[in-house]
Amino acid sequence: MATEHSRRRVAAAALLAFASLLVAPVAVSAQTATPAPTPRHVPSSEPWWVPVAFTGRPVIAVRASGDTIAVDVAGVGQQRSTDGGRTWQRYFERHCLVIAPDPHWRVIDGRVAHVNDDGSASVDPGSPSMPAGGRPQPADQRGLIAAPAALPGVVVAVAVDGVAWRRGVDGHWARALLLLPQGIGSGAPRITSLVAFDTQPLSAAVYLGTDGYSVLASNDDSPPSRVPGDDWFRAGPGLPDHVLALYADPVNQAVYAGTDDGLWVHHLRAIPAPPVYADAALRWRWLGIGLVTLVASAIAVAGLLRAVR
Amino acid sequence: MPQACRSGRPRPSGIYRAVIDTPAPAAAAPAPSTTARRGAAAGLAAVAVGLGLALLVPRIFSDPVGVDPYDVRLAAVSLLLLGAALALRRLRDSRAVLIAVASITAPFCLWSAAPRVLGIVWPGLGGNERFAWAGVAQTVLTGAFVALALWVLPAERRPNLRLGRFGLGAIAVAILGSAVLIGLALAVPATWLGRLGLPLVALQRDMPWVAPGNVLQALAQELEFRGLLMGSLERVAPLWAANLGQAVFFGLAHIAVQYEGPAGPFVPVTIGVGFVLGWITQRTNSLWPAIVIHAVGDVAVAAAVLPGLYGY
Repeated sequence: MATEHSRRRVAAAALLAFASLLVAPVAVSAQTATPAPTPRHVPSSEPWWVPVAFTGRPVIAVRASGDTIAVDVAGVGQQRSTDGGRTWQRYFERHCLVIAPDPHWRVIDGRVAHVNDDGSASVDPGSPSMPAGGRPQPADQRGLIAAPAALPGVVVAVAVDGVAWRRGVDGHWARALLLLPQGIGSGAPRITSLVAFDTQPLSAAVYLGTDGYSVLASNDDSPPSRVPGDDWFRAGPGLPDHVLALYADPVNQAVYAGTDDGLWVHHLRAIPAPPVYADAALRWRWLGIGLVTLVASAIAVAGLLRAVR
Repeated sequence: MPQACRSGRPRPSGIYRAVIDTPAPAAAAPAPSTTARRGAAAGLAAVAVGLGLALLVPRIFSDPVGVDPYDVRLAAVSLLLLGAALALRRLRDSRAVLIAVASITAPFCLWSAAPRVLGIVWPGLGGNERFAWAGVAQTVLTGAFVALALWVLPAERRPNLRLGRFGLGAIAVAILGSAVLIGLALAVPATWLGRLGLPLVALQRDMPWVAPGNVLQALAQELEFRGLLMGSLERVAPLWAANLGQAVFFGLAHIAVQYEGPAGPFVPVTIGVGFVLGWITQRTNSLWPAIVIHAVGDVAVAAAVLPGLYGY
């Protein structure tokens, strides 16, 4: 039977061997992961959302194509810029800004319908019940429905119950996102807009604007088993919580957000990824880390021995 | 009649009475000496200095997003310290707390590395499955440290793990505590926590593997903090001090989480949570309520908070 002394020696030897394995620069781990491709170069110093104009005023509708941006501002009326938002002029469209509907999917008779090449539409019988007219705001003619061109057949829609549903490539509909209450005694925030890049396959992400939770985006940089609508994350750092309208502009590769505090823009970019180091830099890094680990341990042991002397 | 009364020890009053009424087998051991207390305190201080240096100094030559394997550094320092304590007789009074600290850092390191390693040796395994198996690995290694503590420590220094009791009172506390935790989480404004919505399709896909992984993580962490660490400190310090010590360490351990994440107020919150879980453990004299509450909290965070913050 092992004595206490021999047990300790065995345990100490095993631990020291294990620790030395950990310190050895053998593992080259996730640091070498390659970041996702960037759609277009965006300076890394640019914030995720950038204010464009009308700070302090609610922007209730937005439409953009390149340098031409049209907005509807509460208390001001319709405005248009032809220089990317630097200057604005009064502008008028009858009733409200006209937003083109999705080229392939519409809301017809309270259901989601597919628009065929000949212009006819066929209602998807499995789709959820959609709000009549599907208009969260007067300017939005599209309804709360979005279908990224990057993934044909995939649709995300907000039904009458306020739940976001998604249609997979197999045609099956499922409840995708249920917003939770904002706090005790208050309900879930209103979903105000739902957009995707539906004419050009720039991104498979779907952007969901809310009057309380800013913008949520579906994950589009994941394994093939994941489709838009499955995974959602908060994509609104810096953006006001109350988002009233969204618009995806393929020309600028940007998403515009009308909020209760002005107009904002987000330029498409890859989700930040860890930097990549060349082999030599990685080896030096590991060497430095190993050295620090050993020095830290030596200081701790020395202090411990001194304390119990 | 409770064993503590039979042994003739004074019967304390207040919130800590229950645990004294039903002590672990070693509780009747003689009162710890000043040397033992000093050894445990010095062990904790030394490991805190070592881990702090190893965690923070590389930031001088590192990058702000922290791609360094900080968990490897923490595990290496704590294992080296434990190795020294086991090898040097002079450090015998520090062994119990150093085993406890190593039981925190080394399994965390293994948990962190396991999905990557599994991806190499078993390429067909999905991310959720890897997460669950990482929980298994963490729990098994934590169990190995429990075995190490029982193997190398003398009876009077062995931690009071409190795994043998899960009575009706403990079950009621587990249910009530879980309900209070969920209620508090729902009461806090949603944007503070990132509790925005439930990704229903993703949960149906992920939870069969992620939930067991979270439960195993909770089990491992309770064994580490409220079992090994608090149980060891109780041998040489008053119950309240032992609880406070493990709670502070529990909170500081989450600096490692903050190091790579956006969780600013996470450390003080986890100190509070750690103290409450420790108090429940001492009050019920059972580790199981803390395990249940911790597991419920972790599953709730995985279901409703992490998706909003990270999109998975």
